[in-house]
Amino acid sequence: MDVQLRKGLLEFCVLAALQDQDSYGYQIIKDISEYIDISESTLYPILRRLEIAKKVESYNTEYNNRLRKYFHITKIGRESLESFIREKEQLNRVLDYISGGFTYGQE
Amino acid sequence: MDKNEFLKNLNRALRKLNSAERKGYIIHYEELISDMTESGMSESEAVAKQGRIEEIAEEILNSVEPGQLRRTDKAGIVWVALSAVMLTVSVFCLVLYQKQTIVLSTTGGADGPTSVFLAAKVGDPARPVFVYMITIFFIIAAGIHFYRMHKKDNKK
Repeated sequence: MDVQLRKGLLEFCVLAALQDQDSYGYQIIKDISEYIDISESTLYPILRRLEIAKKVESYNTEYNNRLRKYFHITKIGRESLESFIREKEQLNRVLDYISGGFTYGQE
Repeated sequence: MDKNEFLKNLNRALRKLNSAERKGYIIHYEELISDMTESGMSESEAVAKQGRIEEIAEEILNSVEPGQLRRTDKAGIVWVALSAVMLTVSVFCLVLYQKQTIVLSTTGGADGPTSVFLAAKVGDPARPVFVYMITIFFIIAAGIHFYRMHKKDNKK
């Protein structure tokens, strides 16, 4: 997948992984790698960007005598995820156009 | 490569980042590797899974924002440079002073106008207390500067 496109989608994948419960690095990678290719080195820059944009917050919890950083989706994060989902139709139309008139769900 | 070596090398590869950002990455990787080893992977396997350090660093540095980069500490450089210059001058004065005391003691036999001449000549640069005081001032200033920078970095 195109690098820029993947970068944008990954942000939403991370937000989606956090929408039901708070999560930590390794768990997020395990959850979203089923759907999109993500390497260990790409996750933290994404989380950091989301944190700077106040779309996620982080806190430390003790686990096995070490600290584990958990991430929590904020209101801003939820709103940005919801507005992306609302654009789904438009996104599908764009994809159809790009792929040359072939439309989903039509024979 | 074990975990500590990996983290040390990564830290070095990320030296362009400021210390708070770098620390964030190191903690993140430390946690990931620990999580992997605790779920059954061997340490070398978990480290290998992270990929090559050069590639990780490149990927990280490509997506970095200006605020995450290390700033050159201009004030620190100035304080250190001034301290170094004054320290050199002080050492030079100290050596000169000691040499002249020796000269003075060996020519201790001088009397009359000769001793007056010697005393005048030695008297001037003999105790450049002022120079020493400035030197100490610069060194303390540099120390305070770095202490405050360190405290500021830890706060972030």
